[in-house]
Amino acid sequence: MTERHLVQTLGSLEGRLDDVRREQSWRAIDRALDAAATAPVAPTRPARRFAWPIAFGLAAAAAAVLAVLLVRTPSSLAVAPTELVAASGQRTVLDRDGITLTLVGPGAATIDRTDDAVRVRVGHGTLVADRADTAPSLAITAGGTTTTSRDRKFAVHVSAQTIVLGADERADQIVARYALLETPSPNPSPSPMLNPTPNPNPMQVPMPMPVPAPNPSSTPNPPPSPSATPLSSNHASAKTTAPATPAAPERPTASSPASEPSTATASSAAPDATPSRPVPSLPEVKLDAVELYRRAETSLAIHDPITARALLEQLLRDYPEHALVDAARYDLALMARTYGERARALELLAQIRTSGRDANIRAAATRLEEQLRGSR
Amino acid sequence: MSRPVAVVAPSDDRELVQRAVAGDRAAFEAIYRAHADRVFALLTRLLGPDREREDLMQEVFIRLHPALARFRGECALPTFIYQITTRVAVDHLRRRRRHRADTLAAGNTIDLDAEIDPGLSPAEQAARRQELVDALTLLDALSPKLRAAFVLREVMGLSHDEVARIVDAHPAAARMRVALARRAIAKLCAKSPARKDLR
Repeated sequence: MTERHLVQTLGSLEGRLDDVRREQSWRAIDRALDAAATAPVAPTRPARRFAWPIAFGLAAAAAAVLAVLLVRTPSSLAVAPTELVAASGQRTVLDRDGITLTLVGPGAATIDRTDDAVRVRVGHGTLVADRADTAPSLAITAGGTTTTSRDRKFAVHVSAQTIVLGADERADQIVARYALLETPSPNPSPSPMLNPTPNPNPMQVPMPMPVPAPNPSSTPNPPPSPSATPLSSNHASAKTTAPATPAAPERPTASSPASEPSTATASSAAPDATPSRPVPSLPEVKLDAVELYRRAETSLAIHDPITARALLEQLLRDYPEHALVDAARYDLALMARTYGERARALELLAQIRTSGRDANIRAAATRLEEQLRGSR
Repeated sequence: MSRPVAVVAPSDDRELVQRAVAGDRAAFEAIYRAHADRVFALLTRLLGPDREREDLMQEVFIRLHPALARFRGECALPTFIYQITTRVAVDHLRRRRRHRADTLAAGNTIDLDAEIDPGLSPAEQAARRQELVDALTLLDALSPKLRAAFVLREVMGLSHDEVARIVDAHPAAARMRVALARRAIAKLCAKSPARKDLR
């Protein structure tokens, strides 16, 4: 059936009303109209008055309930989370409910307050917490793991390579290892452990070295509360590799004489620390080329080009024959170009062009080199 | 097929209305006798040979009586009456949709025999019956609003402006309803192979 057919069919419906039915219908209508005309008019209801007293009462009750709820709301709703950011070589200090939080840059953390604890989420950097006796608990989240502590001193270091955290002596060790190597800040640090030590080259930011968890088999006297959480079983080694920059200070170790001053400083400045108990030496593991490159990629992903650059340079130094050398050189060249180090970029690209083994990277390097030379 | 032309209001409609509003039952009866056939025919085309058409026609005039006080003569009286008729028919279609038990096939609501000439041969009667079933099934697929606009425009031959006034919509909206109904019918016709055979 088509529309035309449908219209024709409907048009053929005549719907004839014969006289009898028409008369019957009229009589029914007439009766209905008579009935409507004679029907008593329903009394109109008086207009309802708005119950103002009830409305006011309800509003007052609602306001009271709201006030009670606001008073009982956790303080986390009243106080917005605080962003703590410290640039490279700087320290940012925040006092929150009796806990002094010091973030050593480069780093970023978020501080929040809940009913039971001050919650700190460390994204990157070294954070030291000095907690008063009456202060609430400290909940530190790093790398997806939350640790709650009521220790007087707590420190955490988060980098692309490592997450290390610990209390008391372990905190001192973390501070000695990471925070004291940073460029001193003109602001006095609330923590005695963070008193700056002279840095021979303030412009250089040493590559953060991961601190693995103490190995009980190699350390007869483990620290009181070690809770280091390495990201992987491999850990970078400063001993077997040259430092990223010649002027970078050596990492302190318990056995080396160079570490004595910092260790001693840490021990004498911390009231809770026990100087008689030696800080255990940490095993150092050499990273392979793949791990170095992977960590460099991770560092770049979290916008830490300094660490990434140091790791790639280390890869070039330690594994000059590895297949990843071309990729590392190319990444370094890109970074050098970004930072305006044109000569260094051209040098790396020339190395790829002359000795590179990967044809794709060679072609990309040639194109980048042409761009750099053309943009002069 | 002869298409009905657009309704034209008689010149004495306004006088009749004024008398009916004043309580003259004879005047209202005159209005009824003048328009009852048209109302019944429109109801038949909107609803098909529904068994309740007479009741619905009575409802139309019972609603019309108090509504005449609102009639100011802006439109023809038949248009005014069609407006009420269409509203009653759409309400009935909605009720009928809610009670799906009264389907066309069940024959509880639709009296196809009323529209089949008894003088036809049995074969012709069967063909006519099938034709009506197909047409009403197609119409049932439309929503009541689209159905009313389509019937008023395409079957009754009213202008878009008259359709708009009757269905109480903007002329553009009425035009859109007609277009939508035609599109839906075309789609339904294309979808059903059985209906294609009838082309």
